[in-house]
Amino acid sequence: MKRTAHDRLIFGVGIGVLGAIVAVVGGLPEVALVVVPWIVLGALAYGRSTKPLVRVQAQLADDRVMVGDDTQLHLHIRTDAQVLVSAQPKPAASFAADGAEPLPATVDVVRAGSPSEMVVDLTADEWGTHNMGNVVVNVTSAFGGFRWTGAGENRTMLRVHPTTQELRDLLPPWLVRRVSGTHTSRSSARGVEYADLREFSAGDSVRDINWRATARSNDLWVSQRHPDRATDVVLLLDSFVESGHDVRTIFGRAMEAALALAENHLGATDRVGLIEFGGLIRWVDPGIGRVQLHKLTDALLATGLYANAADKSLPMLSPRALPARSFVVALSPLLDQRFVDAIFLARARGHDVAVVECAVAPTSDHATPASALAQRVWDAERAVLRGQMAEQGIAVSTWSQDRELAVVLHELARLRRRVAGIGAR
Amino acid sequence: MTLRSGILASALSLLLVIATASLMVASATALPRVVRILMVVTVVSHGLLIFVGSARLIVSSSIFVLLAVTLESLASSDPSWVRSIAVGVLWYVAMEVSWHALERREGAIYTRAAVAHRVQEVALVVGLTLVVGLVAIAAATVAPGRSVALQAVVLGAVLAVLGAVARQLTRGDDNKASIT
Repeated sequence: MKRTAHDRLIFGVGIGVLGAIVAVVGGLPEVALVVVPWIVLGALAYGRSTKPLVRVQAQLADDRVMVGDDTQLHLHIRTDAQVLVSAQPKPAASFAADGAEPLPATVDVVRAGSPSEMVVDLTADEWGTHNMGNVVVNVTSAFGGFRWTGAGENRTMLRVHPTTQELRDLLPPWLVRRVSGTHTSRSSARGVEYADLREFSAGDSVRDINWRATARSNDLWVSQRHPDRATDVVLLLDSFVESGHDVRTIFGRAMEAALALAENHLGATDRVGLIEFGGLIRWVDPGIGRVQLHKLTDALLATGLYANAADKSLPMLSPRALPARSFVVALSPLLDQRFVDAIFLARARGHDVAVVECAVAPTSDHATPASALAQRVWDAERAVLRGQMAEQGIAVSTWSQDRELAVVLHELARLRRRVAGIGAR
Repeated sequence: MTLRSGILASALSLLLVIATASLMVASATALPRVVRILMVVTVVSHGLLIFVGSARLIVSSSIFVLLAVTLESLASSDPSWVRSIAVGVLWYVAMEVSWHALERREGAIYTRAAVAHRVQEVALVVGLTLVVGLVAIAAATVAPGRSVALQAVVLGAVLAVLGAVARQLTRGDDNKASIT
């Protein structure tokens, strides 16, 4: 900690000495009496400038909150002498929204052997994982003469979850596993959804006999049904940083969609995994249950957005990370060609692929003909890209700021039915 | 809440400065016009500086108080020591309240215990000042107020203290505290 003399000590000593000299040289004791308080203050402050030992420990009331929630940061302070302590939390820059005021400093008296606790109220404005443990501490000695300034660094992480949207419908996959689940399989076996009729053969259950069809003919007919199967859903998240756009907002929307899909499909007993493809390549193996949801959430919150110019392609991941016949849902603004290539590559490897395009907000209000023309060219390029993807059996639905995610996914399911003929190959 | 507390404290400090100036003007025994002008300048400069929020420059208005006391003492043949002590105490409290107000306006949140602690410290300084003043008044009855011997002793003591303090302040970061 760095020690500095407070203004009151410097001023007190200065004016005290000046007054004393004027009083002595001019023979004016009244002047000396006017500056006596400052001389007394200087003597008291100077005589009690002890070296304090300060310990600061930061502790959060909650380690996980949602965006917009309030929480508290508890600062436990201990010293070996009675001092005035000012503690100001300095959370990571990612914690506060743009333009937000810094957290205020709290000043309290801390006595030797009697720890003090300061409580700082926080509001989580931005999603992510934030380090809240850095604290700037100012210790003022007795009578405010000297001040020691230092910083305590603790690793106290706060995870702020984005608000997730509730989805009513699942995205229907084309390919399913042989495990019971919620999705209707295209094959015929025991199930609920009616599929077809066929003639009775040895081994069929009597319960499967369709008596209406049987009554119209002289043969026994049985109903065939689509079995309910589970699937593997792998969320392919684009974390490439493309300059000129609000990366954090776009990525936030992609993450919001990823969490909503993950929660929905995990609730339907599907296995859900995550592959983050961008500055870094990270993945979470598909799994089921609430624990998997927490793993996915932690992985998403820990995502870092790094600018990267390396020539990258989607690597051959192990079957545990990207199982065969898995349903890959790509969440991306489709700005980086490397990610677009990764989508085509996944399709070429036989995966069922769908894309939620997190649309970039227009950069201008098209007041000039040139900007309006540029926007039209941009829209045309996007339409061409979507057409190319549709030709490969990849449905793309655009999620702009004025649309609900549920509507986007419903449209995506409809587009998938349209390209189903290509996708089934 | 913090800004409101800071504004209230700023208003209180200005009131104390006005009280000091009023005391000086009302009890001036010599050069009343000069004292009045200097006190007006003091109040205006202090008000401006506390409005601007400069913790360093706010001490500069003290120069006018010291100048007014000096000029009046030089011109007066019957100085009042009680009045000098009262002016000194009022001015000291006004400055302490000013610094506290500026810290509050910067966003610092003071707990009640912290405010009480500072009030106790200021009260102790005021109390000791009054004691020193009483001792000085008592001593004046024994020795002449402006004797050469007294001047020499006081000047020597002041220079010794100045030297010691200057050495301490310029010693730098030897006096380190640790934070863990």
